[in-house]
Amino acid sequence: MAGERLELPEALRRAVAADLRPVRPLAPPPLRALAVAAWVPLGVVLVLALLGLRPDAAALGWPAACGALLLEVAAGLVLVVLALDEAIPARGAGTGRATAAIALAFAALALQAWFTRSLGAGTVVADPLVQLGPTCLALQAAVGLPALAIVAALVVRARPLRAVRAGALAGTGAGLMAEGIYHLHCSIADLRHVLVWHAGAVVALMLVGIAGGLAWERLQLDRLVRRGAAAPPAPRNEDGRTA
Amino acid sequence: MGDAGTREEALVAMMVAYQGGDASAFEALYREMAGAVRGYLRSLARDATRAEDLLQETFLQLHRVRHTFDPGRPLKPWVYAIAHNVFLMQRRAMTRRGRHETIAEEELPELPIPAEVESLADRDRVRRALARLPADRREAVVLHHVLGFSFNEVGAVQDVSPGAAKVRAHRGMVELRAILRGEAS
Repeated sequence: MAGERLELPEALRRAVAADLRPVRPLAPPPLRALAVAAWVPLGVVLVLALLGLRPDAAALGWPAACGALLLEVAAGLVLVVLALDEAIPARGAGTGRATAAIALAFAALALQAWFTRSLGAGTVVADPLVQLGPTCLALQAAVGLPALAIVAALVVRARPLRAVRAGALAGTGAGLMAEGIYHLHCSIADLRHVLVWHAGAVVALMLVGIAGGLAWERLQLDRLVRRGAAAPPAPRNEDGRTA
Repeated sequence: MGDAGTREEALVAMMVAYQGGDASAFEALYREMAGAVRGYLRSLARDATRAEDLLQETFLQLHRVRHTFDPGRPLKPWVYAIAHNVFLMQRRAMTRRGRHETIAEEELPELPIPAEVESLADRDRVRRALARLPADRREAVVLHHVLGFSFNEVGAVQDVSPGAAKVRAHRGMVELRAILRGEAS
């Protein structure tokens, strides 16, 4: 039975023939992620030009400032690659590994914050949990949005089957890259400020990614319902037993 | 193993020609794969009519995402992952319309049966016992024991780790044997 040969139904043949243009297989996810990496230098230039370099850059030292940028951009790109992989049928990390990757991303952020603080640099503010926090969250999220838009376009091109998970990975990746870039501007090194507002911006972008994934899945479901592809239910047994 | 490898290579070659716009390659691919995919979908839906709809929807979806197939990778897990998703989406669509899965046992379609349990009972009893397994275990049993997928491939289709796929297939077979022995005694 498993090897039974079936003839192609006419309706399916017509549907396929109507759009049979040659297609080029998608490039491997690491290669496609370069489109997002290309945004990083532009983001750095924009942040430095519009917001300015952190005032303690000299005290912090360039290796520390750029090291944080490189660490977070690299970790963000790994998440972007996972998101692009997730969008392809029979690929992807699976729920467990995707969750672990997102947890590691936040750990990288916390590590970077701790390291920066341990260097003793940074601007001191009276109330680090409130002062400038919402501004940092909004600006950092804004820095990450273009990256998220690029990843989303790449994910949608694959018509993802697991869009919510791909969205979560894409949002976290874009958020982490944005944190690395914004680190060049914000000099508040207090851990409470970084872990609430800067990590909060990453969470916000992750939620945007998840919302995008949910919207995509809903759109696909709506199309399916409209097409009437949901077949009528099979009849019940006389005793009403369901399987 | 050699035959399976050769067949997989032939399927990938068909898929590559289809990606290049060859309509006859799509037709050949359908002829080669549709029978097995239909059996798999029947094992998920336990309804022959629904499985036919799902089969057409699977190949339509496959057509839409044909650019996501990487010729350097095996074709079958990619196709069955699409079929798996089509089944899940259709089930959600049914739920949204207020319909629920109801299966009349006497109307169970012909299901693919693992060779390991064929000797334990007649085909009809094995089919009914298989239909009684929890959906995820039944699917793992069909993919591994009937269609010959590795646990890596079963995991890729079911979106779980290879270890979880192995556990599902193993527990499914244990449960299937228990049902058949219970019926026999």
